[in-house]
Amino acid sequence: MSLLRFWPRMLIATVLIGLLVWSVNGIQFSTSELISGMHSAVSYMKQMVPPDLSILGSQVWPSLLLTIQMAYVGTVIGFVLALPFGFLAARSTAFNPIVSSSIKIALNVARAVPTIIYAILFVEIVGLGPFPGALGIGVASFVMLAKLFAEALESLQPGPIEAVKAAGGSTLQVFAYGMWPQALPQFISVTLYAWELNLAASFVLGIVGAGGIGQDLLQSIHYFQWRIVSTYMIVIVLLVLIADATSYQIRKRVS
Amino acid sequence: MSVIVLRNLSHCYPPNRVALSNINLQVEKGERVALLGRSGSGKSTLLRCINGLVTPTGGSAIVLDRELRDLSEREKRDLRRRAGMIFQDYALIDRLDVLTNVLVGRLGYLSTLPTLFRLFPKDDIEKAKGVINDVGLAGYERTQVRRLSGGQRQRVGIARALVQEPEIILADEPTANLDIRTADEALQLLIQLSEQRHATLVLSLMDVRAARQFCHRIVALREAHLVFNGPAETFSDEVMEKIYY
Ligand SMILES: Nc1ncnc2c1ncn2[C@@H]1O[C@H](COP(=O)(O)OP(=O)(O)O)[C@@H](O)[C@H]1O
Ligand SMILES: [Mg+2]
Repeated sequence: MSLLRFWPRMLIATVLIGLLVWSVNGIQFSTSELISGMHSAVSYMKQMVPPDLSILGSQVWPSLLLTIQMAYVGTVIGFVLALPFGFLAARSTAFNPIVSSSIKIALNVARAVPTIIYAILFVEIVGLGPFPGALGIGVASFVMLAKLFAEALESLQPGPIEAVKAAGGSTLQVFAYGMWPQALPQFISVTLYAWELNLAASFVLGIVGAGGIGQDLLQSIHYFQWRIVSTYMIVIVLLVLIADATSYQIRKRVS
Repeated sequence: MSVIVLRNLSHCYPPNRVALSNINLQVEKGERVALLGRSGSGKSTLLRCINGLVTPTGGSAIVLDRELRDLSEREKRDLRRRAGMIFQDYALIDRLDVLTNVLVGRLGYLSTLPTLFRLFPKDDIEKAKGVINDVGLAGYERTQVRRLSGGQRQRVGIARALVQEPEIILADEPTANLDIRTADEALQLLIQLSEQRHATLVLSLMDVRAARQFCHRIVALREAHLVFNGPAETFSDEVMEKIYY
């Protein structure tokens, strides 16, 4: 290894290690607390078994449905809003490049805002409950999907588009035959991805009072109902696994 | 009667890539013209200038008695349906079936709204089925084109162009992705079907032998310039040397 490459590497390594030392101090990293905490963790876990399945029908099921509904409505809102904006943002379909790049910049800025912040804003606007949660999810997935839709549109094969033009097709026909069939599988696949993220987001949104299974979980932790906590955790894991498998199957079928 | 008249046709892609330089060319009705030239010599650009997919930056193109420069977007679309195009990579819509892909060739004749919902008049569907039969794909109407072989796909491409009932067929290296035998079969099919319909055929080819064997006239490009234009028999080995080396 030449000296020329050795010293820059040493410098990078030193910086990275220095950063780590600084951050470990900052977060008050404590091995002793981690070890003593282990004891209580073990005792919590012992209290978690067996999970309390008696609440499945009465409590878990309604919350579960609410969570699913929240994620679904949010995803649909995101999809419907993202379609036109995706088209305006894509270089290949935009009416003019200035519109396309301004929308892209706006989307990038909006993407830096996490879902939970949108949800908190909507709580201020429409009050507590699953409705602001769904709206927050909707806006966050709109921003994400619009960008992904635009990228999908920009990566389309030019061949079919040109072929429809060459046959004398109108702009809308070029869109419906040259673009849409190519773009749809990608649209579906990224929307399913958004839906999975939205399910996860809707658990977290329980924290800001959006309701659903996330809020119930938080509540049972506050009340030290460990056997109920474990029930919720199992249901959440199952839901995530089922959502993952479902979206995988659909993706496989459309692509 | 000339169906294509190009005068001093030039095209420059931005910022400064000269693809065609002062091309003068006339193609008569019913003629079969092969376009030869190395990759990048401007063949695709020339074909796209003829149906207005590319707007040339200089000179004039008169196609079916219309000066392309003077046409509105609407008039260009009317002209395009009279000039069918066939592509090297077939340019089919992979996820749709053979019938729908062929019906794309009818889009220029139909009002937009119903076609957005994949609704086509009975007449057009019958026409599409007719050409699908002509290209030997009867029975494949409902097969997704991505399930077809290369040779079959190009026959879908040919059918899509023919269903336009075009007066001119422009084919851009239609057989470049096929093996020699499949390529010859596709080419013969294309020639036979366009002759039956009295269509003028202009096709770019990689294969000099096929050009000599199947075409009346050969036009050759080299680095954006037209360097040969004559009967296929006069396209000698020396000329070939000049074009490719
Ligand atoms: N869309 C385009 N933008 C810029 N340059 C292009 C474009 N299409 C073709 N060219 C250039 O124009 C020249 C001629 O290309 P083309 O007409 O495709 O030649 P051929 O079909 O004979 O290979 C080439 O140098 C190519 O790189
Ligand atoms: Mg080419």
